[in-house]
Order: sequence, then structure tokens, then C-alpha cells
Amino acid sequence: MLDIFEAIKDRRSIRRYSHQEIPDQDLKKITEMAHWAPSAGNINPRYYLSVKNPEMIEVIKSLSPGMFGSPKAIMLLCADKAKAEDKAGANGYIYSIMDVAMAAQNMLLAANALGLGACVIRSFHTQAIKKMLGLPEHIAPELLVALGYPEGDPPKGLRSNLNEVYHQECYKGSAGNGKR
Amino acid sequence: MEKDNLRQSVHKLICYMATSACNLVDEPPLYGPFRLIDASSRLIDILENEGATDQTLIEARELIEEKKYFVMTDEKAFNDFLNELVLKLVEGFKTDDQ
Repeated sequence: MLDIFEAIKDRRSIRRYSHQEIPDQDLKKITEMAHWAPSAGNINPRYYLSVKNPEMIEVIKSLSPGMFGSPKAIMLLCADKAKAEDKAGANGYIYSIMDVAMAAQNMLLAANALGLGACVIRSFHTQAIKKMLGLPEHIAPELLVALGYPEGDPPKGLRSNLNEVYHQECYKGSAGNGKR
Repeated sequence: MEKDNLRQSVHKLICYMATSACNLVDEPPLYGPFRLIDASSRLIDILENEGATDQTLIEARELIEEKKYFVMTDEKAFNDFLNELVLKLVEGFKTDDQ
């Protein structure tokens, strides 16, 4: 099992998968880790749906241009708009999207720790996915996570120098009133 | 049955292309050429299953699968690859007496 720092830096978007099946308990485990992500106002307006049926995976792929390869499972991360707006008013839906994003990151890291490859996808047709998977009106599919055991090594990840994006105490180069 | 499989495969490809068209309205411009060449690769898959492909198309698909993800890491390499792909496909038009 990778430690948290390794899991974060080692994670890649995996788009090529082997034929190896994913055990149900692993899907449940990564979902549990997603479920433990922070939630604004402790509203927890998130739902998860896993798909392993190969024919349904193909249909979802045809509605998701951002999905590549042949994943062995797809996780759908949804926001409960009604619950979020009921608890947090007009901002509720935005909070719920942020909640889903945080859950997705947990899911990606948990998948990586279990040796699974994953890729998070937003490029899909939300209404068509809702229709195909029978989601009620107030449940909004926000992200898909394609999963499978990696085939081949993905290119090493690249990030800009941390100093270019990390500011301490005030924004460097700013003429603003960051100094106190 | 075979015709039904072909119909299903084409239906999925058309779904993919229509969804791409729908989503591309609000996606990065470079995703447009990416979706087009990805659809080309998927079409070659279908042709291969029908025994209706040739060496040029197979090699073109290999090229696509090898280099299409440059779209996310190296814009120049992606553009170079698109040109390389077209020149590769032109080879399929050569006649026997050339």
C-alpha cells in the first residue's frame, strides 16, 4: 500500500486498461474512501453508482467523449441538487459540485493505492447518462471515473515549479494591500 | 446477427460523434481535432471487425493511438502528428502503377 505522499505524486490519469476484472470489494473500498471526503456544511449531497456490465460500459463510452480505452468499471459521482439547495440555498449546488470533486480525488487516490488505474471525466452528456442509468431529476451526474488495471506505463506527470504558484502571506507582485 | 452487431457499433460511433459535437461547443478548441481523429480510430476498429480495412488504415490507427494524447501535453507535437497522419493516409491512395 502506498503512503499518502506517494499516492498523490504517483497518481496519473490512466486511459489504457488490462482485461483483469476489478473485485467488487475494491470498488466498494474506493467508494467508501470517496464517501469520507469533506462536505460543505456536512450536507453530504453525494451519490455513487458503479457500472461493470460491459455492454452498459460501451453505451456510457459512446456518450462520454472524454473516456478512452476499455475500463472494467465506471463510477458515476452524482450531486443531490435538491438536498444541497434545501440545506444551503442558492449556493448549495455549487457546494455539492465541490463536494463531488473532493470525493473524486479521494477515489482516485484510493484506486491508485489499490493498484488500479483511473481517469476522471467530465466530458459526457449529462442528460443522456441520466436517462440511460435511470437517475431521478434532482440527482445530477457530475463526474465519471473510469477504472481498470493499468496497461503499460503512462508518461510521468509534470507540474510547474511550486514557487510559481505558491504565495506566502500575500500575493507576490501584487500592489494590493496584502501587507498588514 | 452480424448486421445487428455492425448497426450497434455504428450507432455507438454516431452517439460518440454527436455527443462530441454537443460538448465541443463549450470545450477547448483543440479538442475538436482530437475528437475527429479519435472517431477515425474508432471507425477503423469497426472496419477491422468487418474485415474491411487495409494496412494503411491499420497503421494510421496505430499512429493515432500512439500520439493522440499529445493534445494534453505538447500542442506542437499534436499538430505535427495531425500532419503526419494525413500524409500516412495519402499512402492508401497510391495505385499499383505508381
